Amino acid sequence: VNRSRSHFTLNPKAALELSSWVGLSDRHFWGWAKQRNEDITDFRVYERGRYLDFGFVRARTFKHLDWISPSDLGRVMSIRIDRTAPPLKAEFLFHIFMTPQNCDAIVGDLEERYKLISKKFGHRRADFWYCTQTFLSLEPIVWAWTRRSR
Amino acid sequence: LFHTVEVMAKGEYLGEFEQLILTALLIVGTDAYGMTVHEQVEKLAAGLRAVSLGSVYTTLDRLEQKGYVRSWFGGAREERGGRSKRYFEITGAGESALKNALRVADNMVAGLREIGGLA
Repeated sequence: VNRSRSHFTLNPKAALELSSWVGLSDRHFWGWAKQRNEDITDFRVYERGRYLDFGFVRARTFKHLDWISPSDLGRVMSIRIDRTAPPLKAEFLFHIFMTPQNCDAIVGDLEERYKLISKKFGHRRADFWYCTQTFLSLEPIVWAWTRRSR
Repeated sequence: LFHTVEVMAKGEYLGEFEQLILTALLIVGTDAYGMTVHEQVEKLAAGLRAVSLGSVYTTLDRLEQKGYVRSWFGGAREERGGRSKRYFEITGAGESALKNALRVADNMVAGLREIGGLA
């Protein structure tokens, strides 16, 4: 059994995917992965020393990993990513109470406006707007769903 | 009055928010989809009431069921994360319902002005 722990950087495609899933940007990512033969057994990504736990994206992210060299723990490769994604996945919330097409439309609207606000006023304001809108929107949608299902 | 009550079935009355949505649809015109309608409604409400995107969508659904609005889905766009837009358009029935509602509102304002209630 060949075990190793490798530092890695993400190729641009993986970095973009990661930034859109996790909602982090303009930051430097680095990390390491434990490998056992051909399988990845553990995977960590850090942002400025902070461990980011997003195990849920592992399987898809691995496809795009560029392996650097095993063992060199002191070596950190980093990349710069522009943030483009909202802080939470609103479709999970809306999908329960809306038709898939309607859910698509409302989440698309939220995302479109999020990007505009983010460009104009920055991520924090855009994050706040997105979260507020998502939770405010849930109430009427749930109410309408309750009335429909009665 | 009795005639009006007979002509307008219960579901044909427009609530205040429905009036706002239909007005916004008329103002926005051909590019009316969730976000543009929401923005316009926010402008019309002038901060007097909170408007969420969810309430805009549920009201538009209700208006579509009443036959005052029709909708269709557009193509997916990259800036929307590959999601499609749902476009809306006011129907003839919607326009006349809005006109009726606004006429009633006008009458209320005129009535109040007559007695100096809205000085």
